[in-house]
Amino acid sequence: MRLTFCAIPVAFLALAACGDHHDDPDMAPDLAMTPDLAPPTDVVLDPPAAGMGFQLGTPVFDIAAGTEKQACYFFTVPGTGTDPLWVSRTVAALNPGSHHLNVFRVKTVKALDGKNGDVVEDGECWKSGNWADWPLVINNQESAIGKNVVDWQLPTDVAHRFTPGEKLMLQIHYVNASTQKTPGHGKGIVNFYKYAGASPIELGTVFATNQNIKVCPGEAEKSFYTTCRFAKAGPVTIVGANGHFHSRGIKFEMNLVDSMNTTMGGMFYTSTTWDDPPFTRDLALTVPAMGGIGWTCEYSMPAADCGDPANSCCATFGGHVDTQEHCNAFVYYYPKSQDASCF
Amino acid sequence: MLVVTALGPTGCSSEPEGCGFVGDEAGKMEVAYPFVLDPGDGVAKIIEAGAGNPVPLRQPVQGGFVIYTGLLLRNLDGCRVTMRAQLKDPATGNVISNLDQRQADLERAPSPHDDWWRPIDLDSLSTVPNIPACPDALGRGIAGQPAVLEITATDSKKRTATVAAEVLPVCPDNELKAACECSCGPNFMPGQCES
Repeated sequence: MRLTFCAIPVAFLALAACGDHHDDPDMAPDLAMTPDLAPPTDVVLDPPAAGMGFQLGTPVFDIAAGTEKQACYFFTVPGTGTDPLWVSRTVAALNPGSHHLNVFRVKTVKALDGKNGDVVEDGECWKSGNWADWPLVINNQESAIGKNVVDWQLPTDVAHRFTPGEKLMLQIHYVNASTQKTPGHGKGIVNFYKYAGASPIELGTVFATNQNIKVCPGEAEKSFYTTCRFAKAGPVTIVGANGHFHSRGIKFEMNLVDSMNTTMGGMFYTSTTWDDPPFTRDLALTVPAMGGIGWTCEYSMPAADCGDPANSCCATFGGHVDTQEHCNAFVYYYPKSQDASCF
Repeated sequence: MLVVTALGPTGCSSEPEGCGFVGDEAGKMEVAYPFVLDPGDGVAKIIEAGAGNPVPLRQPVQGGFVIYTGLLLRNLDGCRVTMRAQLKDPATGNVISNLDQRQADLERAPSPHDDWWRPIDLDSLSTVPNIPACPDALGRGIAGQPAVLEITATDSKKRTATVAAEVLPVCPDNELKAACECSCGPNFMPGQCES
């Protein structure tokens, strides 16, 4: 189902103005979230000031009990001309209960598309092959009450690069079923704050997913490990990472690998909280040329549990939280050699 | 009267067929041959890998192209065997793919290889390494280029065996051919291929 939403100002930019907001406390977003009420109020985030960036967001929506909802919102980066827009800070705010929010750059279009302001709810928005080559911009999974705003200032002079008119897709997923609950409504907002320096270093992203995973009732500590090498043009520095799996996931880890897929050092990321995985944003890890990451997803499933009843109660690859599993790694690094996806 | 039955090559009688020691406990782990799976329509076809034989690049549900590979083994603990696999450049020895590692119990292979064991549930493609070959973020190119398939099996007692087989990764001869040749070709860039 494709809808067009017009009720909220979702994209905003005035390129004529400029300035350095990084040290200006008045530029901090206005976050209005009441953490202790049930159901929680909807998250609010003022957009960047004129000329200081832009905002993408969704309207408030309901998630019926016993269901999950995934929606894909399409936007174009505001502005005109060909000069790139550099963004050095993002603030992502989610109503509690979100399973994920991902923003991608739209590349090859298959069966999922929309104009600026369109939304595709469920349907094609569930079919991951539709965004197979769409590079990751940002992601966020932190939506616990009181921890549902992720404010990320990139390292000095590191910035996302956007082109005016570039199409983006914001995908948001809420679950209100057996494994995850949404106490109120669904809603997500992301602010993109303009870089104010003169010599930006482009941020690169990695989206890596391990497919053909399978976890069945009674299996314990079953693990899948894969590498994703992306440092094509020379050494790079990883600055952020987070992992994503569903309710059978008991441990998600990431390590560095060299050009021979050999592990370097210990784990730089560990998550044991499937429904609120940490987003590590204070990393400064050097990846050697032709190296990358390795990531491990470890699962256990009690014998009495059931994933997909149509598949002997096993959980296999897919986005539906109650019945399927994921094993996805999100990594942010600089300087960008190219956006990387590992399948 | 207590009857003691020696454990033979069929494995421990208290374990499911194949899970338990399989083969000769006094012997070194042996490999019959590495294989590659062609998933087809839900029934995986087994292709012996080696001698430069073509091996299929196949597309999983979300995208990219992978090689499903495994080993026929004996003389090891057949429970939770770890297999890891990657591709190497035959000329330089450099690694040219990402690496995949996963665990599986073993089951007896069908005739005529029924004195060997292989991962269970092959049709699920989840019990054998899925070598993530493409898109090739490092830009070398995989499709149509000779490669060495390297696979290592390790059991719970740290018995291990590694084999290397010369292979030729090839794209499917169907509607995915162009996308495969593009994303598995040299100098891949996101968005340039109809994935």
